[in-house]
Amino acid sequence: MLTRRTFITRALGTLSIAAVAAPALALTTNQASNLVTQVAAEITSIMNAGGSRTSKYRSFEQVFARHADANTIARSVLGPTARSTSNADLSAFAQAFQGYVSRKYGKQLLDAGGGSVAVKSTRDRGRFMEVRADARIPGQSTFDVTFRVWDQTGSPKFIDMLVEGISLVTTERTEIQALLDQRGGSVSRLARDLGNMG
Amino acid sequence: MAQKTSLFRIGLIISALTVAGCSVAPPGVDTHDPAEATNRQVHAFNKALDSNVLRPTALAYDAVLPDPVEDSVSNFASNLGLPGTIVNNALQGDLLGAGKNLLRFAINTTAGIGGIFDPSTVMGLEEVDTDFGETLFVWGVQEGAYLELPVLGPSTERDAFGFVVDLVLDPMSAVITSPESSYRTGARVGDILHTRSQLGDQIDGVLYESADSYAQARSIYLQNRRFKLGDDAGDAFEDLYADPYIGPEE
Repeated sequence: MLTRRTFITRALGTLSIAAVAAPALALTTNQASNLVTQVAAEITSIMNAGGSRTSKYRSFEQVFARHADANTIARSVLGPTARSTSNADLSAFAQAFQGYVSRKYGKQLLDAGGGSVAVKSTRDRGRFMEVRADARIPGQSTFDVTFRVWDQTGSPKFIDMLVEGISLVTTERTEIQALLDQRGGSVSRLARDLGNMG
Repeated sequence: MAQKTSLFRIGLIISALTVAGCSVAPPGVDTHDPAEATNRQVHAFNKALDSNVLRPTALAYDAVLPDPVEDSVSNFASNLGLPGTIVNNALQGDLLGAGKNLLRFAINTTAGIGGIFDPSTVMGLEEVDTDFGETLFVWGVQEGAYLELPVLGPSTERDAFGFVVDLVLDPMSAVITSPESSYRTGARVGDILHTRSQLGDQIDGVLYESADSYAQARSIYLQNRRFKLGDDAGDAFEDLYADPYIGPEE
């Protein structure tokens, strides 16, 4: 017979199983959109500051290191190859990829000459939060920029950025695969070479 | 009469496509590219065309013409494309989009002096852009195989077919005759050059600084196209982000 007590016990039992099986996303929509606003502000101040391009790329890299889940991004970009890669090579790759991405996309940011980002909405997509924003570069029409944020490492971090639907992780995965193919699949060689690319 | 016959033929082909589908991707695969070998050859051709013709012409066009003139040419070309877009809005049942575009066409043609200026955008009335490829999507036709078309670049079976249909369905092609049609063609060319120079750095990066420009172009085109159509069917984000806390990704 289903009494109130048995119902509550069963319900609690189900909850605790769920909590152990899949770490719940403790991240709130506010935390996710605040992260986006904060990073946008940091990027803007780097762009407005004086200094050479090289020093700006390094500053972008620091923002990436602080606010992106570099480990997850590196593993996601390597795809299935990550499983057969040693931890040492993985971490060398993650480090090198960080610099490569900061230079490659930093260059595009600097060439665009600045702009603004306005958060439109935030959606809970289960494993991560999706923050959609309107980006505007002066003289061009607005375009959509979406940030994917999760807190699996304990605090809110980026795992991807999409411009008009084009994901950094997806696009770089294709490119990294091609670069790996050119190096016989050697992640350590790629990690070394990435230092000179971007 | 010829118009009716070709419309009838298009109708037949569309029903065939909807029933049979374009070539269909095997399940679980995000990119369906059975013609990759041929596509890569076309890509090599397109890249050569870009580096020898399109890119230098676009740079020269941008250098020679003042920005307001480039904008006027592009505005003129875009405005003449609106009636064709409105046909597709209507075919998709998007009456709001059709209405907005119609208003935009009216305002830009009159207050914008034949479409040279774009007061609509200043007023916040932006184009609700669409094409027959999207109409087919709305009608349930699958994306089909990825194609890289000569000169036109990345496309899909559905979008390539849509491109041809748009040429037939375009109301302006019936209305505008020579010599005005050559002005329109000239404006379209100018618009392409303007776009090429505006996106210059990004396109250069993908085409000339990638390890595999073909795969990059394919990936970027498909992601962007699916996003613009609002197509979530192929979104593989579930498996995209490696999560060491749950387990190795599939």
